[in-house]
Amino acid sequence: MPGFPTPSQGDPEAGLFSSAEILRLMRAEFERGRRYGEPVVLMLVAVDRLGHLKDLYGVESAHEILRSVMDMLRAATRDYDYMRCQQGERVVALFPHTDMDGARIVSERLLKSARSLKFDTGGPSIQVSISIGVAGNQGGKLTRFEDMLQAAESGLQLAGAAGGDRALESEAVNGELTRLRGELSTSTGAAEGAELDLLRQAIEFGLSTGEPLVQAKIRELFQLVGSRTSGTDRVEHELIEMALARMESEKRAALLERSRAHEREIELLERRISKLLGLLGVSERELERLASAPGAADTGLASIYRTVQGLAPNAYQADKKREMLMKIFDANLELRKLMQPRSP
Amino acid sequence: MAQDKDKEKGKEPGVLYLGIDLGTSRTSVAASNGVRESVASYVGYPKDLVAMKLLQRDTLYGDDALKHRLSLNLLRPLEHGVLKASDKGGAEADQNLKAARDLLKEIVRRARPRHDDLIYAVIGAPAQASVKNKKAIIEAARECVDSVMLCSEPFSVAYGLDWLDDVLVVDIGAGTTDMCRMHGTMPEDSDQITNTFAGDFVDLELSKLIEKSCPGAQFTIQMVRGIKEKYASVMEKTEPAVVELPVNGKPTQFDLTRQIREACLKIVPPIVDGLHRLIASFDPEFQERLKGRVLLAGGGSQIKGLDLAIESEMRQRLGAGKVVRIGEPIYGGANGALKIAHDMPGDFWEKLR
Repeated sequence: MPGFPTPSQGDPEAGLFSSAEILRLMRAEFERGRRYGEPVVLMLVAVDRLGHLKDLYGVESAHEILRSVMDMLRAATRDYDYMRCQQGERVVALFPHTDMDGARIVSERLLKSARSLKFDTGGPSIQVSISIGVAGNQGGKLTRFEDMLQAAESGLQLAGAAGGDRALESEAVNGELTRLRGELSTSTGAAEGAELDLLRQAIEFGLSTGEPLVQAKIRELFQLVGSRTSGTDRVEHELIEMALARMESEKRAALLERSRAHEREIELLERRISKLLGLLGVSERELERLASAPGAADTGLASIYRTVQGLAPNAYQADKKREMLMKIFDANLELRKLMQPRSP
Repeated sequence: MAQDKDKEKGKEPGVLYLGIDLGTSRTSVAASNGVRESVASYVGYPKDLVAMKLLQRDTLYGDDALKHRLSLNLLRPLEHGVLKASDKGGAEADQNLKAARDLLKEIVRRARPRHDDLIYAVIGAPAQASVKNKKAIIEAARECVDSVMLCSEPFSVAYGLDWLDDVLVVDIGAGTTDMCRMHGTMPEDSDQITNTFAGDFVDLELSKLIEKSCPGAQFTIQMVRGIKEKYASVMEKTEPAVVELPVNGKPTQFDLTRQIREACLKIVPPIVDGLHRLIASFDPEFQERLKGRVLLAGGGSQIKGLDLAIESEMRQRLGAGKVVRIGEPIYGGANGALKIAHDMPGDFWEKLR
């Protein structure tokens, strides 16, 4: 694509274009697509649980992982005409002339490539995964580039919340949720209040996780809702149990993770405090020593000579000494000349 | 402030002359403010952060560095009187240059200069130091003094005592023994001889003798050096040198009188060889006069009876000999260098700043 930087023409990370400039170019491309009715897709890519990896393996390892993922992105998308820039620990990529089907193919390819990356930490090797938030301008709902960014951001958050290693389009997820909410409200209007709330929560959660099994159960439930049979109750209970078990397990995992993170932070802080206390002690002792040492502020001893002396005229063997001193000076002058760098 | 008080009293910032003897084993300074200091030529840098915190300093010198050597990267930047590896260059030479710089800074600091004084220093270099070695010493010194000159070490000893005519100076250091023939003018290359049969050589020979005659004794070269400095003698009748050395961890006494004498005597023939060459190549009319005026200087001159041993060897090989020991072996070179610094005209110092 003439006029826009692509990886083959120059890598923005190498300094050819700043991130701000790339985003400006993306905005221009989005506007062009909107004006001429051409499809444009935006992807936000992030490494799953990068903060957790930093805590476990250090900042350097996390940076190396990020760099490898960037290289992977570059290699996996080299056949595509697109723009890319890094925003903190995420990558924003815009694909002009690409519809959602094309976006699905690209995102599948990226997810597969990311799964094949392995990193050696000195212990067991680790595998990483990525989450991708996808947003497209088809449908005409996204009229501004910022809305598209926001939509991709939502998709990324949903993908991360759903466990990562997936690409989600928030519009599609929200659309599905809205439709199911609508069906739910019409189909279950006669159910008991408490049971209905619980069912609604379970369905909402099940939809938000994106778990295929849960979604299948939800569809099965709705098929049965119209004709309420014992099968409906069974599916309902199974669904609710699954959702509750999942919620409980996620809650425990989150609490454990948070607790570990806090413990690590506390340990780091305690070590830091201990070091600082040690340094403080050393400084205090040194100050005490300096303050108490006699003549602590040593200004030195004055020479007995206020001016340059030289050989006294009536010194013993003055002539011989004068000659010797001249020779010492000449030899040192010669040495200095040898020490000076030669001019080119 | 001291400077303001001095100005009130009519005193202006002055000129501090320094005479520095940069030796393999010891570095000494004599200053025109009356300070005289000497430090063993060792420089130590803490091995790691733990060592730095323990020692609370980033550089140690002399005996202090030797005491804590297990926690330090210990350097002895001079070897045979010159900066180690300065001829070859590379990382080792850079390391030694840094250590020499730090050692010079330390010895200048110990001279307690006032911050506003001009510092003019003369440094004694071995008689036959190469141009590269001399350049390295000047480079090291320039960072801590305003102007610096080098001169031959044995010459500075003679100048300090006003012995400028028909004198043979034998300066026995740790790395080198320098011999210089003074005959009323500036000594030339042909007037100077350097050999490496000096203090370090005696330490090595003594180590070999101890190893041979005291099986199982555990010792280091620093311990041997300490034994030598305490008991060094070439006299037949002397106080017995009984030392304690660990054998398999248990302190055991050994009488090393014979071994010490034998090791110290080994430097006598090479010294007399050097003196022989200098005398034989001198004006024959003044050779006898030269034989009768041999000045023994440097740390090695403290070996008891060495003057008599050299005299005896000279009588056997050259027919005559008279050796005099310098009064201050440690500061003889530094005193002489100080005198040269004092006598040097001011405009010479300015031209070399």
